[in-house]
Amino acid sequence: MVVALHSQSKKIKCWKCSQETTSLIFCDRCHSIQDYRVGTSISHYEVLNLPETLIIDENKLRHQFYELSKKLHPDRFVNENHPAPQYALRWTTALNRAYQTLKNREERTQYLVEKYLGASPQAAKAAIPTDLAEAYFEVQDLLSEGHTEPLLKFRSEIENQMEESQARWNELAQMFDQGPNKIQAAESLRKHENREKYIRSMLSDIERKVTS
Amino acid sequence: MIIGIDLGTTNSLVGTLDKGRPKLFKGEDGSSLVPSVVEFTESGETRVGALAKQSQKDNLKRTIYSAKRFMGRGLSDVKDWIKLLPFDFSESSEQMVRFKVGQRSYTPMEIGAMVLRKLKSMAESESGQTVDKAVITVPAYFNDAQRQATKFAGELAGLEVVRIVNEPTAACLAYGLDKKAFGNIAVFDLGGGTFDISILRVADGVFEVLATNGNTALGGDDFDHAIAQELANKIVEQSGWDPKTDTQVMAGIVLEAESLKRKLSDIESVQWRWMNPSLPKGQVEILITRTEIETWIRPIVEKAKEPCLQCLKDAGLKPHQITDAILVGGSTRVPLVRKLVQEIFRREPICTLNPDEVVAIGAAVQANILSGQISGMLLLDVIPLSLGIETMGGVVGKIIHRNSTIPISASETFTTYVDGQTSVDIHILQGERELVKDNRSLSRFQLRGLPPLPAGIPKIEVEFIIDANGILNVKATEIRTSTTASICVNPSYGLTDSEVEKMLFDSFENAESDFEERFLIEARVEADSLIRATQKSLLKGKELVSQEEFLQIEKAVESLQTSVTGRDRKLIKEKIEALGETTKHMAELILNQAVQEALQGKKI
Repeated sequence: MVVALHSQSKKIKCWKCSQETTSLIFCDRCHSIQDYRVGTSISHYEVLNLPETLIIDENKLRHQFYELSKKLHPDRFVNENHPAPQYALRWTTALNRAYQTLKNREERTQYLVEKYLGASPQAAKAAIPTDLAEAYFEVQDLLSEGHTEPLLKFRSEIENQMEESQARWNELAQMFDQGPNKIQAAESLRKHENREKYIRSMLSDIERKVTS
Repeated sequence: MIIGIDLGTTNSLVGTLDKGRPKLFKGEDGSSLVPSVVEFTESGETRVGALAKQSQKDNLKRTIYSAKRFMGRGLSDVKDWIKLLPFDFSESSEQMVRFKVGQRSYTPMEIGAMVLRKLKSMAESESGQTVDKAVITVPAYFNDAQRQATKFAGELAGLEVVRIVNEPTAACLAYGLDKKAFGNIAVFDLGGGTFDISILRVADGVFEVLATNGNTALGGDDFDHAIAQELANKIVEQSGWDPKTDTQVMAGIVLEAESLKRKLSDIESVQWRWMNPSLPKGQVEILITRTEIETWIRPIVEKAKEPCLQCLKDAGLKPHQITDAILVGGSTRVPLVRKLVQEIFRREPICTLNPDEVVAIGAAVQANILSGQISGMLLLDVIPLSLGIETMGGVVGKIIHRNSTIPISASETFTTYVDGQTSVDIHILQGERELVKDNRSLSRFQLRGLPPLPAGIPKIEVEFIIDANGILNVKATEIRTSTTASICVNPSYGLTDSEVEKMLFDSFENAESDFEERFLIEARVEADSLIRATQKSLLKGKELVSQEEFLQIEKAVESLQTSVTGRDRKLIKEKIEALGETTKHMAELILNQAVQEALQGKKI
């Protein structure tokens, strides 16, 4: 089933048929689209009706997104009367935001980590992981010197680091998904993501210099 | 019925789906392509389409074309482009371009509305239904101001614009209907004035745009201008006279350049003969080859390369991962352009559908989807340019990133800087650059009606929503007091309220005269076909009727022919009826004879 969203808290009254319904998107009875309840925190996973896991099947994700889009998109409600088109717009906006976040590995990780640990404090963002510091400063030197050859050599080393980092993510993600200690897993992931950000930043700096 | 409209720089088309098959409506010249040209004759007549294009070269100063290049733009945006145009611009064109024709001035929206009105009436007269809703296409790379201007042109034409659709996406829909498209499709759309590249993923009936890029000031018109400059140089070489001294003459050479460009797409060389009284010999004859014009237009064609590469990057795809590359737009007929597409996407591009018609067909498909007639197809488009807000120091803070699937929303929280401040200024920009001055100013909002509180206390949450048309809508709430601040929106292309009112009023006035024009044309067409049919019947019928009757019929034909040259529609209709009356008897006789001959076994 594509759509399975039910309200955990209270029932609402359908604006169209006045029946009480627990379904969040479509009325149980008359199937008309309901308002996206601002203030109710609906997670991206709930909107897409997917289990909350870090490791996801990209094809399944896209399939859910397409099927839900076909049901919720404002294009389907052009001939409907107010307020249905407005509700469709809100649901689709939420759906698009959900898909955009979940289809990108880094954003998905950040989303789930923030869910369990809260937003990342500013201080943590600034610190360079100690094991990368040397490499990071060396890259800065090479960039200012501007010779392409040593940069290219360094690039392949950093690309290896990236591969390792991605393999490490898989391990951590599996641990997170299998649980039970989500908080601990999230903390490891946060550290990991900070580290990977620096690797990515080094790679893009080199890329920019080399292609100019 | 919702119609689909391609409002093009050079030509416009209108169509619908008839039992699932695309149907494009035709103008009085029998073509589905309506030139986006409007002529204002000295006698006060307004001509739109084929008629205007026909007489263009004799009335260059008062014939407006390529108005789309000026939609939603100010003069500073287009200064370089206008040098070779024969018509004039108003002084007050800084914020928004206005064409000057005699004493009057017209905005690009008004010109667009005239073309749209013609398309509307074509659809109505051919289908026999009234039409008041339309899907109109725009280049994918059009910004918010350009989209709003297009929507407004629709309103002026008496159309409710149900959706603004991006041209490459529409083209992909047309292919989807035709070929059951599937996979990663790259759409390369080069028209008269705009260039778009879009990459879509098509699966399960969903057409999802992954990324889009382009250049809203790159098109076939630029080829024409470059060729014209070189032709002028050749004229100087050969004759010693420099045509560049005369803008009207150059404008004429641009039209010649367009024609040469087309010819040389099919053949390798052309002997070009051009006459002008200022030439020492009265004319020049120059051999122009395809290779030559390719050298002239190559730098312009190359401009399409970078957007394609960036688009692939944004879509996260390599050229070999593209399933098909589709060509859209008349300018893709130029062989050099096709070569470029093949180079970039490493495959032979597809153009099985007519590149001039495919966008209008796609618009018709979308119109059908919106009217609920096709439930298995859906379009998911993106915003082409990032949206940002001006922050301290003239820097732009991006709030919605380019290539985000629309509709999309983002919220930002603002506060006040002065005690008791009751309004907040917000400046919205569109573009990818870091500094305010390098991006396009979209609009400046004033959130008014805030409760007077100490500075920094109010929390104003502003929600920016890009709707399915790619147009920005804004909602604001002061959180602590739950007041919805009222928003005063000033689109930066700057029409005042009274200007808007006047334009709407003028458009309704013109609607009347447009109807009259259309009816007159229809009457003439009907008269012509009746005259021809009568003359054909007379070949047979002459032997069957008396001399007196024959003369009567001839007189009626003459009378009708005379009325056609005038502008009195009622008179024409009267004469049509009269002719019908006089030929009734002859028609009966012809029929009887045919029946008799058939009964006798004779061939008719």
